[in-house]
Amino acid sequence: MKEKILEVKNLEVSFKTYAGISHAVRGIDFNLHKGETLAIVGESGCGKTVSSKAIMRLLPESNTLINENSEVLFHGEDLLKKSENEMVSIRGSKISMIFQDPMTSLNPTMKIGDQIAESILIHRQISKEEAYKEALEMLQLVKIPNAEKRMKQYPFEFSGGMRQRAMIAIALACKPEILIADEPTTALDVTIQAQIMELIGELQKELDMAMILVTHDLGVVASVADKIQVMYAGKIVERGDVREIFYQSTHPYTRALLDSVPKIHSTNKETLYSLKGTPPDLINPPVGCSFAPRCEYGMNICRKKYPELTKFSDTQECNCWLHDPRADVRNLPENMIRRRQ
Amino acid sequence: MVKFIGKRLAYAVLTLFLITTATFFLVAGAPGDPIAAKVGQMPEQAQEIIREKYGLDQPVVKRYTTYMKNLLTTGDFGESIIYTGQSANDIIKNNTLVSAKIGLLGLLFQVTIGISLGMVAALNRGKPVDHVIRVLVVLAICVPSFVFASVLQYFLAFKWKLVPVFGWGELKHYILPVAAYAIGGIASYTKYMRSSTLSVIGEDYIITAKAKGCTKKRVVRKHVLRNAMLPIITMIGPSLAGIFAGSFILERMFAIPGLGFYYVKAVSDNDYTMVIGLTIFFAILFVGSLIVVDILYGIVDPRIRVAKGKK
Repeated sequence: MKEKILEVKNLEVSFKTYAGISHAVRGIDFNLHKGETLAIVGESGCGKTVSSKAIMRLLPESNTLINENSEVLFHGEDLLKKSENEMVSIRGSKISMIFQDPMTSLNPTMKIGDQIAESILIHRQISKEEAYKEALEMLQLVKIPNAEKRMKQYPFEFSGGMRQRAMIAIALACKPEILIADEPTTALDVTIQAQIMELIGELQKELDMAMILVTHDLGVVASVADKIQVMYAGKIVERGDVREIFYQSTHPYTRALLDSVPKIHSTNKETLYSLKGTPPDLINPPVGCSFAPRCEYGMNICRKKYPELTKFSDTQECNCWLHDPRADVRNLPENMIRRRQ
Repeated sequence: MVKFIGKRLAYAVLTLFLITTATFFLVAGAPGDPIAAKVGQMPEQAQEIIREKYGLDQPVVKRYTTYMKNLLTTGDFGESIIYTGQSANDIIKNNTLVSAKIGLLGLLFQVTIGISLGMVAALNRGKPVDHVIRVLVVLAICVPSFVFASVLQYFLAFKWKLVPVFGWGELKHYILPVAAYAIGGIASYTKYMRSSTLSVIGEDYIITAKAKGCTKKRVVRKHVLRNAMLPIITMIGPSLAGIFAGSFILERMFAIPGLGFYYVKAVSDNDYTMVIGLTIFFAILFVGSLIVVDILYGIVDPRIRVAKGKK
């Protein structure tokens, strides 16, 4: 087992809104090891982005409430207890982040080269010239042709894919230990998506860095992730390594997500599965399992009490009443029952 | 860039031509005429002679072509009908600087104070400082400049005798008119800067900057300021033109011999040559300042600069 570098314990994040307090993340735990890729998967609004921004402490201070007992341990030190100054020195150098929309994530009035060099200059005591030289190397590393000329250009002269490459160059300029990629390919078209994911994968190996990949696209996850955790309504409902999640998923929500992905061998006569309904209101989250109202296999108990954790292997576990010995499993798909035994 | 400026200049010339023509015919078509006011008591015949001297007996189209010919060949706006011997060119030459001084000083205060207050309000959104600034802004925008002028004159000059009530020539004479001129503008620049800053703060690239490890100060200085100032620069354009004309009423109140002072007088006197001449002059200033703003905008916003360069 590799060294554990990030440990999130009982992370609870809520937002003050006009309608009341919205419980966006309701107590999640996970670990990240050196060089490992952890994918956080779920629908929009299930707390993926909020959890990742909470780790970086990038949520707006004025309306964000983080539970006092929550801990985000980075090499054993709690990031949530650090001062803003200490955080500033961690952001961008130890932990970096790239964002969903490369079209709006770069400063429109600053040259690309300046934007990359800025993160180097902030964190390291080197001259401007050296920082520019390194920025240029970064731009070449993310495979932008004519890098020297590109350094002097502005974001609007870059295409979407190029901008995301530039974002990656900014994030990796200080060789961070952890990269948080928040839906890095969602705003790009499919061919560019593949290139960007490939690039991220290569750089990750090269720099031996750990990655948290936040996405709702399971297709992206399959090729790069080591572990997957599925989030729903602010909680992790199932986690496991990639093979376990793709071939032996145990939570009905995970299955619904997997079934919603078009298969290459499906014909145009088959209707693509779509999960009905919408995630619950997080201002008044349901008492029991929050997925129960949309679940095909929902039982009475599901709406009354939150299911306990069932472990299937060292890596796979899930919160679902269907795995309770008392549950009636006659209607369940075969491979899901098999996993129970 | 050169091509862009050339194109803008061509449009500017066309605009000025249209303005000149329109003003000429509008003034000529206005009821009443300057001679009637000036020489109402003279015998018919004497009036005729004066009319002939100024060419007012000619048909309006003929007058227009003569005027344009003189204007284009010699740059002459013509002699004042009311004040013999004084030409519109003289007035412009002698008094533009006076108006410009007040206007430029006022604009300088408007922009610098407005931008700073707007930033302060936006960065302290929802806090007491923000509320105070916002209330003051609403007040200052609602109250016209001549009311401020009177209030300032009453308290600072009349009651406390800190500055002269009116007059011109020394530094102390600038204080009241510049202050009265600037207040409204300060308020609107503050208002726009506040909302512009707030919208920039909400942009994705600000989170990118934070995620990079920028301190709050650095985020504001390097990422917020420049982007938030872009819309403000478009506002400076019209203000720049307004610095020559914006203080019309103030110039009268403080007895400042500026352009506005004469312009207002020319209009009430129906002094054809003066009205047309000064209008053309203001039009040149206005169109010119808009071109300057376009160039300025290009310097601040690379998107526009490069797009211009490519075309």
